[in-house]
Amino acid sequence: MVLRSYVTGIRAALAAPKLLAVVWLVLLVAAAPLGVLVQRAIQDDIGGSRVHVELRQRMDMTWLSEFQERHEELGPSVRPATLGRADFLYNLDLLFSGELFAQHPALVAAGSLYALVWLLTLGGVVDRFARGGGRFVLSQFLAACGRYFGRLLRLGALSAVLYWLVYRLARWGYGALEENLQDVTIESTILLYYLLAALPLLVVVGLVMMTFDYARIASVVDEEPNTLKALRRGLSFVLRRPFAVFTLALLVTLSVAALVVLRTVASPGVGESTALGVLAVFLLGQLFLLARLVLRLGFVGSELALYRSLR
Amino acid sequence: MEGAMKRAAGSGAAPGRRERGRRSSAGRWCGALLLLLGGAAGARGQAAPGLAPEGGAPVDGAAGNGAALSPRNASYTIDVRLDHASRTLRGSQTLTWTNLQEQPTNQLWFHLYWNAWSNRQSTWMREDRLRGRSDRRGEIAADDWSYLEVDSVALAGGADLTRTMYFAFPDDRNGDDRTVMVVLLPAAVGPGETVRLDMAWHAKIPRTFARTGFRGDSYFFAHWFPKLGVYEPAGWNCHEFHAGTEFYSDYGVYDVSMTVPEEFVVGATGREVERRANSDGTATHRYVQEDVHEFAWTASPDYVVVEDRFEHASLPAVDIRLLTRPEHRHQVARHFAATKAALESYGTWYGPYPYGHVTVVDPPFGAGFGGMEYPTLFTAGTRRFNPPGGGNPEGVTIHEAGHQFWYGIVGNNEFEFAWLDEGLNTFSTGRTEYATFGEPLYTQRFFQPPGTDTSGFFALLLAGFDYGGVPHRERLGRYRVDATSDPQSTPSFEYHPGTEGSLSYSKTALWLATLENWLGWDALQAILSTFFERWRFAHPTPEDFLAIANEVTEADVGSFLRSVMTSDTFDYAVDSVATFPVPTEGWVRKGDELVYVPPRDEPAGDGETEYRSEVVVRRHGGATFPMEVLFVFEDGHEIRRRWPGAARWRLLTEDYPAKLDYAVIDPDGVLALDLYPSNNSLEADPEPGLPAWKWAARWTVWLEDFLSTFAFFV
Repeated sequence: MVLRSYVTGIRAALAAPKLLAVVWLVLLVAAAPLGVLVQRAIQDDIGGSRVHVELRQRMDMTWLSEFQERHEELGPSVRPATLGRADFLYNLDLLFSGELFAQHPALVAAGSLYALVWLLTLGGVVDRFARGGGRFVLSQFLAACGRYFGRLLRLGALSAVLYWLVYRLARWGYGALEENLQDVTIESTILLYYLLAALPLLVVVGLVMMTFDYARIASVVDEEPNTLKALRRGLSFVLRRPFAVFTLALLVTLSVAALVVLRTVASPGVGESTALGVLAVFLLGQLFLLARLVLRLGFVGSELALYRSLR
Repeated sequence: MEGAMKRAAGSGAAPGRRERGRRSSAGRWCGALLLLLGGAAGARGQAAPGLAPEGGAPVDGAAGNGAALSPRNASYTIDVRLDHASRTLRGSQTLTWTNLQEQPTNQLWFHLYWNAWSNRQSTWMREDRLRGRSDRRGEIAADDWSYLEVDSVALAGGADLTRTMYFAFPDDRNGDDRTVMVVLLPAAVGPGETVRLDMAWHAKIPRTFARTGFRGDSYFFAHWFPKLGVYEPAGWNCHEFHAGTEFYSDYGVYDVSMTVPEEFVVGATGREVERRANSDGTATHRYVQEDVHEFAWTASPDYVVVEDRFEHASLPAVDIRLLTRPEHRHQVARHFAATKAALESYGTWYGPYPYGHVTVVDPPFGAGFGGMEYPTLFTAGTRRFNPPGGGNPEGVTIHEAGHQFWYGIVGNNEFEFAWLDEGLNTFSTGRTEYATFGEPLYTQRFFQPPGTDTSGFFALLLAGFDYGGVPHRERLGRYRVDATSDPQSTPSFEYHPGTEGSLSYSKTALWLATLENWLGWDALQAILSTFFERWRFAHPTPEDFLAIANEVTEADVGSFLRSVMTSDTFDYAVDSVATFPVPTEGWVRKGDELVYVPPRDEPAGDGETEYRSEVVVRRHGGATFPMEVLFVFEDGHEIRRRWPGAARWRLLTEDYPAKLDYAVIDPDGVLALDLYPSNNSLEADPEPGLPAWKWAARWTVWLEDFLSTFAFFV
């Protein structure tokens, strides 16, 4: 049942290329203006300097340190971790370590804005999957997005509060753990403790995520506009079918992890020095992002399939 | 203890670096009496009680042939016991000190470094708050503080001096600081005379604030016993312990017996000459080393001992003893390779390493002992996941091994002139690392749990993010942050807290790199090797270094070196470039006639000089340096022009048949100190911004992924 739901969801995502295109375009449109700003900042900074010769082949770290100094608002995000093959891993680490909230308020704002846009889109996605596909009509899709946005927004706000509490709990917990491990002198041992501590944290995060995921599905599929009732349905479903729910989540997580590993390993070096090369690398990046979106939409579809089959 | 300590009137009264030696009338009389007695005895320092024969018992020199390499005027015989359960040390020591100066003194000034961490009122703790760099943050448990208490002081076989002890505060009049202690002698120690002191003390070991202390079962002991300052012509040089500085002491012979739990592995300065099992479950390890100015040691049951040997055709062999951790066994070869690289490079560049052995300590994780130097022993530091090519542990190992030369053999005052060892060593480290291992790849670390201080456990190397293979370039960004802070000539302990890295390490390495680029490596090596040779086992000052630099080279380096000692910065730029047909319009004399030539838009095409290229160069920084300006034309032709670089700007003009492509000031990158190298070049007709699109495109992909990841949870 879990595997069937997983396959159903991925198939549904792949069978909706126009939907995928819309979601991908929304993502690109959300990021592109900032990308253009970065391009202008870099171009202005280079000006007529010959440093551009080096920057064609590699990242000149001497110039980068000057750029970061001259652009305090952009500097923290224009760095090797975001410009090379470590980019996807770095994003995971930003969230996990909490560095995002401590040092990148602009990114938090951008992410929150996009999360709103995603919530807006999500209603249409669930609705389309619930209807079993069919011809994609943009106006219908947008109408569904609008119809369900309010309830999804309320659920999203509530989930944000809970995630924040979980993050504070994690911060406190790890801080206390570090304090208690201050006489442990073997790094591997400390790492093991930290990894083990991540397990209950993952369970809690997973519980919150799954509850709200199925609450969102319930609010659309069961036409439940009341936030608390939808939440109750979601929690009830998760608690009644924990094995199925978390196994499905694990399947998707492993798929995403595999994609991140592939991205890290297979990502090209930074030596592209022609317009064609730059475009190719950019398109390769879009391919990875598209794959991520397939998995994301597939996750929604598979959760919907599981919910319908087991509720 | 407090009852025995009193503040002498006027102690630390004069703000400044040291106590200007004061002699009481009683002291002068005693000194005269001692001189008379000494003369009557026929040998210096023999007659009065407590005064020992100069130099103590003869020992083998570091070179193994009995010859002393250093003055050996401050020697210690120490017995110390580690109480693991209570985290304390109890010790007794005999100090044998010879006055090398031309004036007597009836005082002995000691460092009690561990008192810096006895409470929050010490100078060290106050300064550390300003820079926020210690290994200890927030709450400090009662058991984590430290102290070093002197229980008794007496002349060897003579008077009890315990009640004469008092604390001094020669730097900042911080009456709460307890890191400088003075002992008054009943009689002055005259020039060439020797005094022996017996001291008993006990100490509480800190959970590491900086460099020394404990973590779990592992200990590292640095500056852990009452340590004599340095008596100089101007008086005692014995600073309070500052957060941003290190140490300074005289050379001598150390004979140290350490009693520890028998399962502990011990590493220390020197060679082990005796090991004795005791009946109480402890073992006593005796180490001896001549011609050093510090003694550090470490003990842990967890060390794995691996040994190797450095051999070179023209350098003395060195036994290398590595104390590493079980989880770092896979990095043993890397530690040895880096140590050997340092011994070879520094040995051939400056002078041979004389001791015949060195101990490398791979400290426990998170202990705070890493990256520090002590004579014949140093600590490196690595991580479980440190992929080869990332520069760690190679970089830190080379650096700390290199300190055996700069600091260990050439013993500068690190309180006042830290750059003399840190800067010279940083420069040498970069040279060695790049020559041996190449430029390290950029390392990105991952998985730092929230609310913790440890950087990520896993590492990924990223190729393509580098400094173009230019050694020391990575120092420029660090230096730039504090470039206009204190002048480098400021005594190091007076630097604004947190800037010592920028000034002592980075700035010095950069101006040494400039000297190399300017004078050539042979000339710079001559300066450094002469400095090393002349000041081995001595205490040079910056003036000594500058004097040698001026002496050894033919170039006028004095002006440059004076500049770098200030807080003036170097920043040259190409401000503008223009290239256009040589303007010929106007009234021009041709033969006897005055002819009007109208303006034209295109060159005549007659093959003669047709384009004028104008380049404006500017000096943004306060310091000056002779510059070269490179004109590169579209046909590939190049012209170099010299500019003294003193004026604030200059217009340089060249007429040539082709248009100017671009201009570069300092095209060979001689001035490593130039704060902003990117403004050193300018194109006449800049190309479209492909690089900007390239990096922005990559950044955009990252941002898209970030947004997707962020929204994954909603």
